[in-house]
Amino acid sequence: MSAKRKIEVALAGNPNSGKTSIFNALTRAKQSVGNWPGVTVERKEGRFVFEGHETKVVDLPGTYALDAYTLDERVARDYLTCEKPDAVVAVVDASNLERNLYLVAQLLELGAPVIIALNMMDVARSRGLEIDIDRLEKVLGVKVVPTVASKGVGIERLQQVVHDIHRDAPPPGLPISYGDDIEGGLAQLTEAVRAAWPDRTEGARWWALKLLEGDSDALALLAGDGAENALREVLDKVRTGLEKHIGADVETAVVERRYGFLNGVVRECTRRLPGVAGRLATSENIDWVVTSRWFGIPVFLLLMWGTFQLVFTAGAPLADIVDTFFGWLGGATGSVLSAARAPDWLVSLLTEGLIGGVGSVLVFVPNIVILFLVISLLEESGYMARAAFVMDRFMHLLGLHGKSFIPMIIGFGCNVPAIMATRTLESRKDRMLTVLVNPLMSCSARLPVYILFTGVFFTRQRGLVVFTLYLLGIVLAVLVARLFKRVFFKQEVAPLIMELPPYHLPTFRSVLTHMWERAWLFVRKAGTVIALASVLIWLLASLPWGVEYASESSIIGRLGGLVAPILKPAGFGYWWAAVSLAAGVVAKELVVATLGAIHGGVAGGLNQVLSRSFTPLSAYGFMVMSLVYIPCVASVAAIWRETNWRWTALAVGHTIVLGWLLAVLIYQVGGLLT
Amino acid sequence: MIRRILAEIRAGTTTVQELSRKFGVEESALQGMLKFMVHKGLVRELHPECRPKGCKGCRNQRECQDWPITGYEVTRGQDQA
Repeated sequence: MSAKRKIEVALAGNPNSGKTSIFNALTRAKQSVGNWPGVTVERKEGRFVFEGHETKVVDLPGTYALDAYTLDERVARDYLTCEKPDAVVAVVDASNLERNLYLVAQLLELGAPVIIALNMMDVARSRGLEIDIDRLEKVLGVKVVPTVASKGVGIERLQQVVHDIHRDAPPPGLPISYGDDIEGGLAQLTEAVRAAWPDRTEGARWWALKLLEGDSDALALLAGDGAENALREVLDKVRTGLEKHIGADVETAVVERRYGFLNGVVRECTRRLPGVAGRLATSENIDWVVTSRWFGIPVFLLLMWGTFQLVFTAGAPLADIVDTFFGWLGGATGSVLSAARAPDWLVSLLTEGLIGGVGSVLVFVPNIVILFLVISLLEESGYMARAAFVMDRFMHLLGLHGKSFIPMIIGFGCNVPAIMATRTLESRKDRMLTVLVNPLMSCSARLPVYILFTGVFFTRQRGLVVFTLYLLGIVLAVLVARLFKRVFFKQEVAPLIMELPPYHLPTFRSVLTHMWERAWLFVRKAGTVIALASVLIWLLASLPWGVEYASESSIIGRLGGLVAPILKPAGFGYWWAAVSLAAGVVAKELVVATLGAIHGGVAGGLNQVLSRSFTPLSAYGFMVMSLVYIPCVASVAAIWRETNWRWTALAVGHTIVLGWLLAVLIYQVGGLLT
Repeated sequence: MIRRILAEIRAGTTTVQELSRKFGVEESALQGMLKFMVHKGLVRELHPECRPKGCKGCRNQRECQDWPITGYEVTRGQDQA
């Protein structure tokens, strides 16, 4: 090769392999940017001079392969086949060697003179991967230059190797053998390509391989007649013969043998460093337990149980402080207003209606904040994706669609976004099914009801009782989905392949941000919807004028009295229990806010009223009813938006019936057993 | 290997990590095989976005993105690999 000839090298590589860093390090400021002909894909060129010789570097679009699936792949391939650069520098991410070598394998098949820039060597080492460079060079038959482009390591050596092209062209590399069967077909097809397309004789094997893989660009070249007809005949014969012999699609067989070859190369040229391998093994060992078929669900349940234990043990003293504060606020407001000779109705509105209603919900903010804190910790650590995987496998065993669990888990926070998240399900039937059962997942708005009742009736097992309610929600959702599937949607379910994020230590800032955002939503709702609803409930409890506040003779008392008999078999046939459940349709927190507004807040004697009126059995039944019966207005609207009035009616109807039936069953059957 | 992996994922939900361990393949290489299966219509990528415009501007963005579940779903009715 002439010593003064200007040479052109192409830079190829996977996205995120550090190709741009290599390009910048090689060419520094000597760059120009344009577009590839006919497309809007950016074309970057640069130059560098090494030992007096100038080299032009063309940066190809980042691609994983040289197939014809994407525009970037086409651009890179057309350049390599038409412009034939003097060499191709293949930038390979050393930490993801196997995948990155796939492109190298295709470059070698194309007959391109390849030089490998084995980049990100530092990352590979930090992940415990040691690569035998000499062995890799021998196995692939190409030059390999280790680099860390971000730090400029190995760039001069790469420039030297590229410069050497002025003297000697790089070797063409070693071809991959696809096994006797495919190689036989490939040989026939290569001959046919040579005969049909004399101008493609040099890359005949490459074109034969592309035809065999069913490459759309290669097949498009068969549109002519004459010589193409003969080639088409050979192709059809070879493909049919191979598919019959292999028992599978030829393209799949070619791709899997290419990956098989690369798997062998990586095994031969790499080894795991013992220290780091140990660290990786720890992560794998954790996964072995938390995602295993046997331990996955018990670990998930144990964490759920532990979470609720913490919510109550750590939250109770703080909730008491908030409770005392609202008690004091109500008393102080009443005293100040009375001293200022304010009308009785105003005193009642502010103390019993507003402070009693909103305060009875805000009392539980500490518990809810702790719940959100734990959930944020689990999410940030990477565990929640594992929990989702474990749950999915469980649901799959019951014949439910794999992806349905995503909206169901979101439902633990709020059912509205969870219902909207069902849009990610492609099948309409899957969407309907998931929407219908989603309100059974216990959202955070139900938590105040659980905390209030467990605080009165299950003081020693609060965490356990709330845990059973969350669990009941999941079990009911699974059973109802199974029933609906059998009745309305008979179809197979598709398995998933999930990507689990790596475990990492949660950062303080990130966990707090997550927790704060969720807790603030809860507090904001208490200050808006719940405050307004509390005033409305106070008004209905005070009218007609002159009636005793929150008595059976008030409007709210009379309305509640109409529904109360229906609830009697469940053990809570009180007008105020009926009213609180009815108010919960607007927002589930209103169940507690209504009880607080009617009975003067937690500090105002609500706990005493509850302990007089309920038994532990009817209290548990009431919590189950709150969990199951009719979704809140926002959820109903979301269901309507995502389905139609018939499905919405079914979602409302089945939850009312199911909630009532369960509450009655718990009270009646439980009564027989105790 | 692709056909064996496909048979494995059709048998039930799994993870990229589990498959990588089982078949002794790098996770990134397995991703490459899964992308190939996507092109062949054998599996479908899970898209967290539920709106054509994506998550931007959605008021439920926060809740959904708290659960960034990514991966693939086996498509129905594709028996020939």
